[in-house]
Amino acid sequence: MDSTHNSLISVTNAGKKPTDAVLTFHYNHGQNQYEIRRTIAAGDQLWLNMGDLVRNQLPDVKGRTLPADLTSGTYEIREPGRNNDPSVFEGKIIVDKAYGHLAYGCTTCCADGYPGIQADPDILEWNASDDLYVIAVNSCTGYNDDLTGQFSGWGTDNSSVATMNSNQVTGVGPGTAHALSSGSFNYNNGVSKYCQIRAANPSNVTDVQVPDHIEVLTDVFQTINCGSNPSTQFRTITYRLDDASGNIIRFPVKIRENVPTNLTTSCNGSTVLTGATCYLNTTAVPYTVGEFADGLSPGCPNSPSNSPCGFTFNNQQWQYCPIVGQPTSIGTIGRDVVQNTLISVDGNTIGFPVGTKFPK
Amino acid sequence: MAIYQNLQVWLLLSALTAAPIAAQPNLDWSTVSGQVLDAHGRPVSEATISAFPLDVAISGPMPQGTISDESGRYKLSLPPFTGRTRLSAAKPRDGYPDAQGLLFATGEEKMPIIHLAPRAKLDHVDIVLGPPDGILEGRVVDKATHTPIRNARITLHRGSPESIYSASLPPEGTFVFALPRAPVELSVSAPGYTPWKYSDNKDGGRWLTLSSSDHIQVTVELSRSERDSASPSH
Repeated sequence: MDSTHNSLISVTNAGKKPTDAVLTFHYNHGQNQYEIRRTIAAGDQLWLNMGDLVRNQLPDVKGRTLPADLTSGTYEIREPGRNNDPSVFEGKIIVDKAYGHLAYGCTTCCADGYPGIQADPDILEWNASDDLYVIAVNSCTGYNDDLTGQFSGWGTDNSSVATMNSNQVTGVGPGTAHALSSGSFNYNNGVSKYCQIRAANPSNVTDVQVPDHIEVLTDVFQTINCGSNPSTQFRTITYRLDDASGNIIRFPVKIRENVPTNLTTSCNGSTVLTGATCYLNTTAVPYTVGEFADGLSPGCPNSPSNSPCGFTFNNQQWQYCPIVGQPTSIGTIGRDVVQNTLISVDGNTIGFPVGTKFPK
Repeated sequence: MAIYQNLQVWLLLSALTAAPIAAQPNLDWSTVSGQVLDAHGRPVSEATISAFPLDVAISGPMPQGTISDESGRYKLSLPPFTGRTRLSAAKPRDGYPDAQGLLFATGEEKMPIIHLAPRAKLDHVDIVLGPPDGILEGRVVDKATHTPIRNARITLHRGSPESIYSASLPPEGTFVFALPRAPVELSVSAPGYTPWKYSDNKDGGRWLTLSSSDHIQVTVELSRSERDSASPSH
């Protein structure tokens, strides 16, 4: 369209029943859309004057208008709900001062592109299960269609890593496997007028991880202000959770601290709050997986003369709490001496270098 | 810079954001909300909230992560610590340290102290910051290659009151602190490098004292040989 040209688009219902037609106009290199929906009676015809739509800034079904300086774009016409037997055809006229031109087009059927298997999350914890879905993009709506019900024959190519029961995958050991399925679906590539039933064998990579060991990510300590009483110390060691191959664990896991639960601090007589009960690491640090922080502090002294004070335990150990089975060690730290004047972790009082590993 | 701001408060029990609370299984945790304000009553956004239990010892999980929103509002979830729990807010790049640390204290802090109970819901717990301090910002690089040194550690020491702060640095080697108007020693170390200590270019003194209007940038160059140097500039 420009000052000397205009485009008229016609949509004709050649069927014997009323039909709903959707015309989507794409412009700005496909970045923007303008959509018109109309019910067209049998044998009737819908005419759209693109020049009028632009000049009069007429809103589409979503309230959008076409830019006033728009000169070109592409369009498609669909009949939602009529996948294989479209009843409308379209024509367009480019009106020129000297010539008119009419071209007939066709509609495309509403079906799906080639499907894939979708997993969320895309990585599994040992003994965890997850439902997989066969998903394809609908050529008319642009949204995902769930085709899972049309697919069967589920399995994996490595049963020591993952097994399947229908569309549910379970991680049974560390490593990588492919989840497989087979079925058929109504296919359309988004261009063809006709849909066709096609077979498909989608697959998806399933990674299974098992927390194996920890290493120091950060180690921070400082003197804490206790007001009028002597100050205390606070040390936070953040550990990274790794699998046996040294890859960071990519999902929330439950861990626990294997320490006595009846410890008390001589600083104020309180029972030491420990991580002895299995807890999800993302409870303490939202949105962050693959790490956890161990905070150590004896609390503030309860009198000006109560220093040094604190508590000690002999063999701090961090354990992984699996979905099935007993907690297993992922790092034995050693003896912790937690005092208001100094905090020693396995004899270290100056901070562990990043990457320090501990025996299990 | 932001990374290091988080490092500074990793020492403290900061809190959970609202969204994951519903997902976390511990129903006994308390919820605390309020607003972070500067000395003039203006909201402070992007401040990291921390909490420290004064009357209980801890060894284990460390809640972290709450940051004030555009209106300075925060909401955090905490275990029901016995006794007093002290809240603070930090934004070092704007001159606001985490005053839970004695090294950063000026004596003028107004950190709210709360008492938590299982499933308690405490609202309007506002955190009012004091006047901003001077800012020390820097990075640690290899003297020969000028590339960031991984695995570096920075340590600050204050003589009065006697206090220390020490943290491993992020891989970028960057740091930022808001420091009170008090002499502070600064040292940096990294495996395989000669340790570095701050030394004043003019008088060779080892104490660094910032005024509230200072914003000093330091490039710490660590050398694998015996030589090391620094180039502070205002």
